[in-house]
Amino acid sequence: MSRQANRGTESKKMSSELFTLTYGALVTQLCKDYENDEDVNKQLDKMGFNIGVRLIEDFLARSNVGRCHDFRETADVIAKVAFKMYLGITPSITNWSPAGDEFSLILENNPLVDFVELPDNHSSLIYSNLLCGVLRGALEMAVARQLPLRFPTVPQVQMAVEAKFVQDTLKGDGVTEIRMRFIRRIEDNLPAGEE
Amino acid sequence: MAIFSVYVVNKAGGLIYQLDSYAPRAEAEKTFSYPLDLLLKLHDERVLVAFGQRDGIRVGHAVLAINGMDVNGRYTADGKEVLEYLGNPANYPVSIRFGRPRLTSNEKLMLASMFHSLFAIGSQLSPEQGSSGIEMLETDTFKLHCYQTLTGIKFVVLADPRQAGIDSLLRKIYEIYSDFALKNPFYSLEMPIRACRGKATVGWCSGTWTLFTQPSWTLGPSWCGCFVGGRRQPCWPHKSLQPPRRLCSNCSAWQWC
Repeated sequence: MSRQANRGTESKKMSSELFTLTYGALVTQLCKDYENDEDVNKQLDKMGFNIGVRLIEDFLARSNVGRCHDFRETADVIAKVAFKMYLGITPSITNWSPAGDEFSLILENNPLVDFVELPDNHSSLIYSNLLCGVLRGALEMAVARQLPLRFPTVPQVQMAVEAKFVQDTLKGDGVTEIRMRFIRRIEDNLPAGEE
Repeated sequence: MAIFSVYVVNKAGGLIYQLDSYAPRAEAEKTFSYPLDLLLKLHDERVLVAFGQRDGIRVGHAVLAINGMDVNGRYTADGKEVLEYLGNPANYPVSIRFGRPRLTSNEKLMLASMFHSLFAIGSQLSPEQGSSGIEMLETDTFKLHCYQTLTGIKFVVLADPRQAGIDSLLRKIYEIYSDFALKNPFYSLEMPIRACRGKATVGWCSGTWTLFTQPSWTLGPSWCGCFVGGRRQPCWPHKSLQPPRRLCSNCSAWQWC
């Protein structure tokens, strides 16, 4: 399909019910296929990762954000721009660790879990684990500010982060909380001999 | 057309998409009788004019067609060697078309990798910290504009020096790329964008330059139009990160094999 030039920044409106239903069908099918909650969580994370590495290009193309210089700016951009653009919600950022490398995203309402109730036999299922994978994948492809290191052929380096759910409304908590932790900069995409 | 070419280069420096939309180049076709008063020599698998510039035929022009039939590098369409053919008085009078040789796909690949390296050097040479790479390269006949995204993909556009609005064109191309790269689940990131059966044009639409592409995404083989060894050659997508080794150097259209 080819896009016309006047598409601009308008996004196609889609019914959020269809989105919720699609996600629900996906998770239930995975549960049937894998039977083990841990495996389903891993698969959701992997799928989210694949979505994230592609979504970041779309995000950068449409939102015109510049480079983020540190983890705090990254957190702001994720919460205020990215979540707003794709899910229509604006989570709040709290609980910064003293070293500034961990923070929490608090989602008041999660559009993925509208009308969902977790049954007892799936108590360790992380229903929205796709979101963690998306965050991980997107940040791995996006870039942090270049440090004046040795001669890099790709001047930017990527960030490896860890994202996990620490609170979930499906499990009875009041809000959904995703904890994001900065692990390291990834530098293994420099070509051999550039060390 | 004021846009001459578009190149998309991935993070590793490999060319993943290329589009040429030149206006017809200066070509000259003349009928010659034996002996040929131009000195021809073989260079890089092409027959070039080495001496004898006249009438629109300049030194460096390549033999493009003999008697109306396109030559295939150093061989004529029937498989004979061009220099031998032109050395034989029995073949005269002959009509030869000369013109500026087109870049082969291999050459485009090499140029893209070289530009990628120069881009990195450019940002290192800067006296200021945190400089971007090459954004524009200007010559008297064209301007090269480059936009590197935050994910390391470079979009390079060669345009007429007087053409304005290339920055927004580059952003637009990025948007279109993000659509085609993202929305097709069968496209692997950083891989060449195959358009064996597709067609790509740059057009003027609603007041901006826009890239219209209809790529074809298949996992199976696609038939490239080139006849090597007398048979149509299939193109298979490669799984490695490097661009595929075998290219259709016979096709002037952008195709990967």
